[in-house]
Amino acid sequence: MSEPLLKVEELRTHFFTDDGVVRAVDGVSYEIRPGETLAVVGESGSGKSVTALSILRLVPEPPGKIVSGRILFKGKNLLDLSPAEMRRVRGKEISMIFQEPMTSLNPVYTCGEQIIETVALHEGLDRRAARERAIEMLRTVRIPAPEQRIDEYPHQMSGGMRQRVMIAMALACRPSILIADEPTTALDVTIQAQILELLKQLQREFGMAVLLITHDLGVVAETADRVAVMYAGQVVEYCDVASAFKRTLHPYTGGLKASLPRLGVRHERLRVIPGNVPNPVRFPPGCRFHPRCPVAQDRCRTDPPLQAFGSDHLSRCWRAEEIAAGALDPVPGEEARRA
Amino acid sequence: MTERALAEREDVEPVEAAQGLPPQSPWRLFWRQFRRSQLGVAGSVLLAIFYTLALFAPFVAPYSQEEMDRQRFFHPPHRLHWVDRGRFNLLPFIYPTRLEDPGNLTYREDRSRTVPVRFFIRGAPYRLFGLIPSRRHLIGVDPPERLFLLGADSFGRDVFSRLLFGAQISLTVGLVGIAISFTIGLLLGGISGYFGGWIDTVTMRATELLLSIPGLYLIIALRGIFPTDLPSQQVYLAIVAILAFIAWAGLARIVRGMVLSIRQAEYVAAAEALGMSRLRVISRHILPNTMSFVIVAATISVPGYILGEVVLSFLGVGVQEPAASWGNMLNQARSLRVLSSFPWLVYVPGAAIFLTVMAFNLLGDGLRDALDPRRVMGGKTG
Repeated sequence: MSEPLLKVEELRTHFFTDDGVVRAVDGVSYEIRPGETLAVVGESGSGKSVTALSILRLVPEPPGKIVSGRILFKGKNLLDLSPAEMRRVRGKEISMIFQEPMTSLNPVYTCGEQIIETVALHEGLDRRAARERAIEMLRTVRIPAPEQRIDEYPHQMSGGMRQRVMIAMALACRPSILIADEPTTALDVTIQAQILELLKQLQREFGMAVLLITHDLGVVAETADRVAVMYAGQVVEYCDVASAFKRTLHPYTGGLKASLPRLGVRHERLRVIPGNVPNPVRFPPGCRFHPRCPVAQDRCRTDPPLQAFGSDHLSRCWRAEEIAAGALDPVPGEEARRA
Repeated sequence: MTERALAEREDVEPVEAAQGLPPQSPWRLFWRQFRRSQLGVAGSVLLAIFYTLALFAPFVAPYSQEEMDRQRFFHPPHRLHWVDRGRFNLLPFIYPTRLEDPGNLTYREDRSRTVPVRFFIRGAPYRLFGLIPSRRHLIGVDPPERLFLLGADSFGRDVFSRLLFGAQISLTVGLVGIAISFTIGLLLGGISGYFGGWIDTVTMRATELLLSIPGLYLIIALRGIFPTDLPSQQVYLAIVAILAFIAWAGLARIVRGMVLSIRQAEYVAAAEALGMSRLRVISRHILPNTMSFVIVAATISVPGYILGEVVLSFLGVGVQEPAASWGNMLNQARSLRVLSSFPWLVYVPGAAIFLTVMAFNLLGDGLRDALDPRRVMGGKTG
């Protein structure tokens, strides 16, 4: 097993608001190895994006603050870097792309200028060389006629094209990690598939690791090597992608899986996890999922530890052992429905 | 499904689509929109004429702004004639005048002889743009006669010449003023909106304090800081500084609001995620997106400075005689006698101010229509 490229350890990012302390990220640990894809899955508000922003130290401060934890990138703790050193990491070592391709490019500059700016900033290339690099990057992200497209403005491009330009910008300096925050959510399905395929190809080409933030289990199944499932600011299950689907050890992951519509099955209604994500100012005591959990017990009112099952499978559930032994169905009724 | 989206599917761009669409730069889009606004174009043409005249004032004006004629106080505007006793002249001429009634200061044309109006005539020496020495004037008459195209004031100074020299002050007060106040306003508004927190609180309370003081009192109080007997150029600078000092506050507030909304945009997050410094993000990515508003706001606020100078000079604390400004030209017309007997002293600077202010407003409206961000930045959906 290779050394992790990025290791997040017991990260806590809190927001100090007038209503109280929002513990958006509350003791999250995960790691990414070179070249692999880690998918972070969870509902809105589970803290998956805030964790990613914390890695780049882009959490708005105030009200946000990284309270404790370590973020080790190639052995250095990013939280110890000065702002100037941190800026050299952003875009050069770790890049990020966002959800909304409509607004993630600046409308007043051409696509080329925006790529050139990044390249010039990190690599100190002169304009001509930076422009060459920008054209090359546009070609790399499969934009047709890049010599012409480079001088177009974002409003002249479609959503899929803009996301490609965004990817070109993020990868222009060959970062070793790309953080993709729901990169396909705002695109329609066929374009989604193209962008995911492109990301996969580029990952192979550049040998970079991808931290993919998503709430779409379909995307996870297609692209990820490993999965971290987050709920209410914590990682509740952490395993390789096959186990996440075949050997689920947490009722929340089970619930997410069960809520996916299946091809060839007529559904009266889509299955849902009952209840809502808890208020982040007042998480329920003990297991944060227990008020919504179909198999909760009294024991679940105390904090469950993140237990290891096998070499590489972590679950934060008191009953994970029973689930692992096959004695408990994490989503009762699901087997019956499936049959 | 648009052609482009289809093309994207197959990852092949039809060649004609790629070549048929030149990059639509914001300037090109702006120009296409602006030309449609006839009033906006009219305003900009009028302003172009005014500013050109002001630039070439010493050449266009027959006299200097200080030259007095003690024989011809309150001389009315000369009428230009082309026909003398049935004979048509190609070039215009005037009839010399003499004082008919010294009590009421009325003048009468002496039709016995004509005084031809001469073009490119040699007259008093001057330096064009403060550099090029010359004696040529665009228009004039041979001395000892004088040409008063728009009449003379109480010292026998040519109103037309003073209007042109006054324009140099009155028309630039606004430009220099917005240059100062917009620099301050953009910077403070940008910093305030971007950083938020206590920086925002301090800046915004300062602007509120400034905005809560009635403008006119503030202007006069600030004018009191400067000595009254400054040379005219320093008075000019003092006025600009005072007006700019008052005007930045409102702008800073609006820019702050815009920055607050723009910094939510993902391209700002993207710029930060790509390692750009805060100053660079503000100056390169946030402020340029406020430009369409700022250009319009700047255009519309120029008249405020012109009128501000008029108010100060009208109150006698602005540009000091003998230097001319449109404000102190109006100041001469405060008495009822002037209004009834020598109305050109009111109408001439009044009309100049009116036309300029209107032209700026028309231009501003035209710019606003052309720079409407929904039209310029309107994206198509993918």
